[in-house]
This record gives sequence, structure tokens and C-alpha cells, in this order.
Amino acid sequence: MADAFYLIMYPLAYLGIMLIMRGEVRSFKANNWLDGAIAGLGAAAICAAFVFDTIVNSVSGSPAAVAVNLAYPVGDLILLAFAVGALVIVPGWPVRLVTLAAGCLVLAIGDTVYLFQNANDSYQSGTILDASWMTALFLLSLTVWQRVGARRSDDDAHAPGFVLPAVAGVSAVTIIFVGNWMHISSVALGLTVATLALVGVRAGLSRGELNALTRANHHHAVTDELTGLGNRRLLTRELDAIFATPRDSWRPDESLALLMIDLDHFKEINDSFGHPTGDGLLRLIGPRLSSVTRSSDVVVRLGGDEFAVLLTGADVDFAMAIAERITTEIEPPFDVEGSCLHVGASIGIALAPQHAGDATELMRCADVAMYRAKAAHSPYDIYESALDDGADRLNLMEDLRAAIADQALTVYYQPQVDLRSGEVTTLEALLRWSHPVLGFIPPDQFIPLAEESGLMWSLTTFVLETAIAQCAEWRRGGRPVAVAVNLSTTNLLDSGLPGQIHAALDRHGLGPDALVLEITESTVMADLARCKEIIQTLSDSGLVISIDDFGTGFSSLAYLSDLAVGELKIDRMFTARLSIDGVDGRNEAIIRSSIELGHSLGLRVVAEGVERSDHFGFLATAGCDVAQGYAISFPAPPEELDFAAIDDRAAPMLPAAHRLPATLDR
Amino acid sequence: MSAPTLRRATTVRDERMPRTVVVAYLVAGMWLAAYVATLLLRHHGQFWSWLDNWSVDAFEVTVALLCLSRFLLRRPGRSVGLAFGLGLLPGPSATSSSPSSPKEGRRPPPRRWPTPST
Repeated sequence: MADAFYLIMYPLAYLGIMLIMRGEVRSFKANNWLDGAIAGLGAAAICAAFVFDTIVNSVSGSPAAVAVNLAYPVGDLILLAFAVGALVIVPGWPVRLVTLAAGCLVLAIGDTVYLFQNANDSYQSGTILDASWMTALFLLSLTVWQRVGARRSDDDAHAPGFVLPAVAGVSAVTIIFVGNWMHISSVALGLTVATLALVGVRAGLSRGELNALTRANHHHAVTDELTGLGNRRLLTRELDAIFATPRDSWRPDESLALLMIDLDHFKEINDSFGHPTGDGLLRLIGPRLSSVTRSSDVVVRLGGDEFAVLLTGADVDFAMAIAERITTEIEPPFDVEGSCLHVGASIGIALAPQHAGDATELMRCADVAMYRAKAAHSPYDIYESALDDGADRLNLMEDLRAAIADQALTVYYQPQVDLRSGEVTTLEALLRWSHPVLGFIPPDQFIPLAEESGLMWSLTTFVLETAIAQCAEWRRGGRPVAVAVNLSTTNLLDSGLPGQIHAALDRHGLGPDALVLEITESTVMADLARCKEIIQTLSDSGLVISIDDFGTGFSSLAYLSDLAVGELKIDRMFTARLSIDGVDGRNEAIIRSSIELGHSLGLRVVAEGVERSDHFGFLATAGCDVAQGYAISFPAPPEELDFAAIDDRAAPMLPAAHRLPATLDR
Repeated sequence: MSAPTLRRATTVRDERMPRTVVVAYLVAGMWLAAYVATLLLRHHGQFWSWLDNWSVDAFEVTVALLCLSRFLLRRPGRSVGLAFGLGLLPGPSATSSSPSSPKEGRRPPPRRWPTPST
């Protein structure tokens, strides 16, 4: 009767071990359980194969007595198998499970040795064997109170991986192999078969897992992490698959349309609000794009703020309709982290087979159309081969990148003359690119390229360094001139710009008076608040900020009172239209008003585009402070600039009344 | 103090073994060590019923109750304590209530082991 009370321990102990496992590991995959079961069954099979027969043979008596006597070692074996399985499943050998396994082991050893001794009639009480049950019980009880380890996720719970199932599998095969020479009990055989069956199931599940992992990896490889849309790889793969099928002729339902989408002003948003906001915006774009496309269409993010939509079975009308719907869908503001953001989109449309015969060409055509749409401020554009200079453009971009890296660009300088003294006060640094094949490339062609390809920072750094170094050289030569450098929006939104400039000035031993920074109205208007801040910082450090191309923008004049600028440059458009005698009603009025406006705001006024000597006189009479133009000097490399000749040329052009005495000039 | 802090503090305290339980396990450990010492030091074949039966039963009941205490104190993981406690308690309790006597002049085995079949 007492045996029944003792034997009830086993099922409850198994339950306890399961509960301990639940405490140690947050969740299990079937494989984790299988690993434990295989390990346990493997161990049980080995024990059964080599010990069980001896145990069975040692037990005799009534069937009930045999059953009871066997119940203990069998129960111990299963308990030990559970404990070993638990140790296998939970990595890191937690003390709690080691204690549990130790308890089970002591129990199994004690019961087995007792059974042997009892069978041999050699058992004597009062030996150390009598303490085994107490020790085992103490250890099992201690397990209950030991601290639960840090719960491991199911991903952590696979430390031995394939090793233990493999060992158990090999052991099971070995048992069957050994069975050719020695008798293996049916229990051992049953356990061996069960182990092998579970190894088989485990292998099957592993294969399933591997397939799932492969699918997940594949999905990951073609998914854009930020937006959850497809990525460039997916688009390329889809296009390659479509174009890989040989076609003598394209049926209408096979035609393709690729829409290349680039967000407008995204860079400004990113620069102004920070990358997290930019990323948040990109995440919101995806659903809007998906909402206007069919489920069969492929929507991908190519990178940055570029997206693409691949439409199958689409003609030009359908592609245009989708482009319009995308434009409409993107128009409403996006609420990102409490900021209300507006973006637009420029969409380039290319069709296959009309425009391209392969994936690369189709993407290039859509890209070209997209750039054309952007340049024309049009919501979308359709590729036209007649207007395609895309390849040249991309090549030029690469050449520019190489030219900057090789310092193959040249800085020319155009002098600005003080209209009172006739002396050169400042020289505007103008970048020139002499392409080895294409020859001279005007700045208005390569500067936008630099903006598009993210080369503006490198370009401006090069000009700043070169101009400041040249200014230092002129000053060392006795010419107290300054240099003027043009900045783009990209530069002006760079909070590191003031530091960069002052570092360059310090390197050449120059003060802030050696540099004038020219910005345009449109540059400032891209992000007035942020530019204002940077301009204030630059101005506070003693640098003069000049508003270039004044009068050509569409912005309010109010910004003049807000910005810490020190100079106004009247655009060449106004000076060039002055009549020969210097009196053209409207332009004269604009120039005079601009000069008065500048002076009333305490600004120095510079007139650019002075191409005639009589314009010189007019500007001096009108009160303009400084003039710049071909009448004084063409832009030239520093070694070709002759300051004395420029002075000599400028002095006679000034009206006598405005000329300062020579003694005051110098 | 805010509620989350209280909850956190409670959780931390729950993870520790109560001092009384620590003391109980220390006593049980010493008890076991002492018993092992008596087994090692006693003469061959010596048997004391009060030590080898009653004391062992008491020890088994004690550690079973220590398991159950985890359940009774409503500590996290108390179900493990319940399972082990209920598993370990019935055996010694049953044998304590009906002590066996030595058979055929031999010393009986510890209570938990099956009745010798030969």
C-alpha cells in the first residue's frame, strides 16, 4: 500500500518538471520539446538496453510484486529522461535544473543499486545507500525554491541544436546494431524505435523550419525594412522575370508600365525635421501608394525618397491615370510626430515594350522621365526617346564625382570694384569645369547635377578651401581683398557650416572679413527658419552674408529685415537692360530703388553684370557701392588676374565727382 | 511612492527565498549531513528505528512541506511546489502511519523502497 503512495510521486514529479520548464522558458517550439524527448528517450533506451534486463532478471515473485519493483526503476528512468531533456532544452545549465537532474540521478542510482542488492540478497541497511532517497528528496525539494532563471525565449532554447538528437539517433542505431550480438529487451527496443521515430519527426520539422527560414530570408531580401514595401531587388527580379520570357510580340495584356516616383522637398524635410521624421513620412507614403494600385501591381521603395510602381497589362492611359491618382493621394498633408508635412511627387513613366526591351533600360527610361518631370515641376512625365539625355546625364554625374575627387575643377575669380575708390575689394569665386572630353561645362549644368547626386558639400568645401587659400596668398602679396563664395541650400542647412568655414579661415590665418558668403533668395526660402538661424550664426561670427541675384526671386521683401545679411547684389538682369546712356526708365528706377532700399537697411549694395563703362558711371552716380562685371574683368584664374590693370581700367570709368583722391584710395 | 514602483518592489522581494525557508533548508541540510555521518560512523548492521525510520520519515515530510510552503505562500512558481509537495508527501505519511517490522530478522530497508520480494 505504501508503494502506491510513493509511486504517486512520479506523475506529479513529471508535472513539476514540466512546470519548471514553463518557468524557465517563455515559449517552446515543437522542436524544443522533441529535442528534450529525444534526449530523454535516448538516455532511457541506453539504460534499458544495458541495465533493464539485469533489473528484470533480478526481480521475481508475484506479478504484482514484480510490477511494483519494476515501477520504481522505470519511473526513475523516465524521471531522469525528463530531467536530462529539460537540461537539453534550456541552455546555460541553470542551477535549478542541474539540481533537479542531480536529484533524479541520485534517486535512480539508489533505487537501481537497492534492487540489485535486494536481488542478490546482499542488501544491508545502515549503509550510505540508505541516504540516497533522502538526498534525492532534499535536492528535488530545493529545486522548488531555487530562483527561476531569466526566462529564455524559444529562440534561445535550442542551444544544442542538432547535436543531441543526432547523438541520441546514433545511440539508437548503435543499440539496434549491438542487438545482433547481444539480447536487447523489448523495452529497450521499443525505446530505441521511439527515439528513432522522434529523430525522424525532428528531421521533418527541421526541414519545415529550414524551408520557413528560407522563405523568411527571401522575403527579407526583397522587402524594404523601413516601409515594408518591396525593395529594388524585388523590382529587378520581377522585371527580369518578365523580360526573361522570350516574346516575338507583346500582347496588350503583357505590356508594362514603370512609374518612378521621387518625392519633392523630402531632403528639406529630412534636414529640417530630422531623419526620424523623414523616415516616418516615408512609412506613410507606402500605404498611400498601395491604396491606388491593384494587388497585382508591384510597389517598391528604391531607396531614399524614391519609389516605383510596376503596372502589368498597362497602357499609357492607365499609367497616366495611376500617376494622377498617386499625385492626388500624396497631396494631403502627412501627420508625422505632430508635424503637418506636405510633399509632392515627380513621377516618370516608361512603358515596355514601347520604350525599353529590358529591365535596366526600362528603369533608366522611367528615371529620365522622372527627372524631366521634376525639372518641369510637372506631376508626371512620360518618357520620350527624342528628349533622352539621361545616359549622358548619369555619365556626367560620375565624371563630376571623379573631377571633385581628383580636384580637376578650377576656381576662377571675378573682381568687384569699389565705386568710390575704383579698387578691387572682393573677388567672387566661380567654379569652372573643363571636361576632358566635352570641354567647358557651364556651372548651371553641373551645379544642379551636384545637388541631385549629393555632391554639393564636397563641391562647396573645395571652393571654400581654394578661395580662402587664394585670399590668404593675395593678402600676403599686399592686396587686402576678400573672396566671395556662393552657397547652396544644402550648404545653408548644414549646421556644421559655420565651424567648417572658421576652421578654414583659421588654417590660413584669416579673419572673417576675408570672406563673403553669397546666398540667393530661393536658397533661403527653402527653409527660412533654419537658414535664418545659420545666417545669424555666420553673421554673429563677423562674416558678411550677401543676397545674390536680388530682385529675381518671387519671395517677399520682408525676409530682408529678418535676415542678418550685410550685402545686396542687384541681379545682372537689371544692369544688363540699362540703355547705352544709362537711362532706361524702369530698370533705372528698379536699380535706384534697390540701392536706396539696401542703404536704408544698412546694407552694402553690389551691382553685377556691369558690362559697359557707362553703366559704371550710372551706378556710381546712383550711389551703388560696388560693381562687378565684364566691363571690369572677366572671371579668370588667379595667375591671370592683374590687379593693377583692373585698377587702371576701372578708374577712368568712374565719374570724376565720385573718384576719391589717390591718397585716400590706398 | 507610485504604484508601479510598489509592484516592482514586491516582485523583487518575491524572488527571494523567505528567511524561515532558508533556515528550514539549512536545518534539513544539516539533518541530512548528520544522518549521512551516522551511516558512515555506525557499526556494520546497526539499526535504530527512531533514526532510520522515524527520523527519515520526518525528514521526508519536512522537505515535502517545504515544497508545499511555496504554494501556500503564493509565491511565483507555486504550482511547482504544489506538484512536488503532493508527490513527496503521501509516501512517508503513509508509512509513518503503518510502520513495517523487520522481516525474517533482517533490517528493513528505508521506508520508501519497495518491499523485498525475495
